[in-house]
Amino acid sequence: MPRADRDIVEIKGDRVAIWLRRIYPRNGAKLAAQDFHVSPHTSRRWFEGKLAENKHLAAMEVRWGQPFVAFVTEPLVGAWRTPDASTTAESKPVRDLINQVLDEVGARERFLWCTGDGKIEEAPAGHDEMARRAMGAPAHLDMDFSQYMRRNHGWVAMTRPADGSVIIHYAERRLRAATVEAICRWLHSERRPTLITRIVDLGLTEVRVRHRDRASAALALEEAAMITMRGTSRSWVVQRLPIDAARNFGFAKLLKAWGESPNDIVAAAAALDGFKHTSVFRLDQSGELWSLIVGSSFGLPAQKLEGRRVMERGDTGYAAMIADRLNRSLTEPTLHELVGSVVGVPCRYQNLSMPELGTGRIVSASRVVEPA
Amino acid sequence: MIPFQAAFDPRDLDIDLAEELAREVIEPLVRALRADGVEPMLGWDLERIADLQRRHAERMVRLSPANDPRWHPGASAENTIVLILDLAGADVGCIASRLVNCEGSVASAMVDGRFWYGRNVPPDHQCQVTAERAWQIEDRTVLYTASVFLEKSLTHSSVLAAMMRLHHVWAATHRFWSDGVGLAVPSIARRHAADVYGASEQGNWVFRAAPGESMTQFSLLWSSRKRARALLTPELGDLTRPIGLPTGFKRDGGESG
Repeated sequence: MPRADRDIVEIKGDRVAIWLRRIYPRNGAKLAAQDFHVSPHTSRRWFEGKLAENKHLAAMEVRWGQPFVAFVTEPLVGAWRTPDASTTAESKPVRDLINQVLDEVGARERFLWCTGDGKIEEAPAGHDEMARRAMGAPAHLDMDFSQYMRRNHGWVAMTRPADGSVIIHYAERRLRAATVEAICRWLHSERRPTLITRIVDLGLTEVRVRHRDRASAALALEEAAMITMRGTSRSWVVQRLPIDAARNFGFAKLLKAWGESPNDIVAAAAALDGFKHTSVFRLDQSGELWSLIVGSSFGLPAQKLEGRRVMERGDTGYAAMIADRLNRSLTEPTLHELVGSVVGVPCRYQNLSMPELGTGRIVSASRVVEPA
Repeated sequence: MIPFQAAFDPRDLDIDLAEELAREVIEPLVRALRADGVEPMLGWDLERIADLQRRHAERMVRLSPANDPRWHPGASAENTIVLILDLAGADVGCIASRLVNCEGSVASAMVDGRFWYGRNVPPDHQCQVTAERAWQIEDRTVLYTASVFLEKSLTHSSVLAAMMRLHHVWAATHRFWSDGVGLAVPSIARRHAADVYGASEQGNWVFRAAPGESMTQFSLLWSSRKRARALLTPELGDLTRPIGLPTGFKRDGGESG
């Protein structure tokens, strides 16, 4: 079998295996054997990536319909994009033309990897497939190969869906400056994306952040690379404290001001502190949190942060922590002790957050303790 | 249990070190295992260890009480590391570690049984410790490694060494502990304490009797966390080299070449 055909059989076999594992997460070989009237041995081989015979593929198509066919064949359109050396010279222009037309009409989802050294490569059969091959792992292994490459090799998965948007998926602390540079260059070489989504793997959770333009996404990626460079990022430990303890940390006057006039706490904070140790945020109607004023004593780049959505910040772990904390402060003041890092710089602080009732604004006062 | 590589995420290492470990150590070791048809799987299910011991009781003579699910039904990801070798759906090898918080010395915790059994120490438990190091480690979180087993059909190759090294890398990069200890029967400890187990010190002795059994003599193997981390170099992925010994060094004390 020519190599290109062999690849197609292998890709289809892998895709069928992935589909089957999703449909039958437990006792898959046994259940599939019952459904398709084959021996458990045969169905086990399907789960390991061996392509089923045509009659069984047809039975699968009858059972699961178009979604199954689309899923199994989806990588093959892309697979033509980077023809193998064995591809004939005659067929190459035709395939290139098909790719070009599909790209122009935006009808094709594209998968790309930016590797740790900043090379961008198409992943015609999907991110997972290319990651699996890079790892040399067997097709039947049930694991997230892409996650391994993102976390341990600093690869960044990029997807260009047919709707014109861009998805950039990476692990926090694993984004190198060279990778960011390559991604930004690529972003500018592409047709203007309708939306850019960053998916950031924080270890136990993933956070999705939407950017409306390339500049905002690029800024966040550059900040994320800064965290990697500093190499000292740590997960946030958040401890809520009883509000009565606020006076122990020098927040007594602010808290008293909120008690007297909860509808006007921003003006009160300005009068008491001059926005030195206090910041102001605003929650808009769509639930997005915006930075309005950044306290001048925190050493943060206020010009870059003010007027920007909190989640657009490149330090996604920090941004997610702020958003989560402030969302708990929408109806009443809250007091927290926080230990973590801000753009790779360790820190520990106590924070009093108070909603300005009726305006969606939140005053956030912090007392920064020694670096943690 | 999940594939070892799916669990590998050394967050406290910077990207360059993490990538070096992945490329030079983890991937070659996993490849070496796959060459023998086995896949390393990671989790915290002590039942799998107990099951392997039951099925292979003639070679895996005893199950350390610290790794016995009967004594530790609450074993979790936070305090337990179980590495299993999977061969076509069957478990064929294992190694397990527990993180033990010792109040007082490790030796006193071993003697009074808390080290092995936690809170429910059986009345007929017996243990004596003469190893000086165990008396010196006090008020620390200790990584205790035991239950090393490999099915006989795989003992000819480097599978054991690869499994031990993968376990070592994961424990040293994903959990916090100050001292790593293990027990080995003296004949094994003499031959493999350094090059296979990666221990930096071999102490004499720990005598322990499981309920209903007579006293067995073990060597205490010890390594500090610093030393364990220092071993995380590309050389660890080269199975032709002993762990932590100079290249070409022969166990009889001579030097080749």
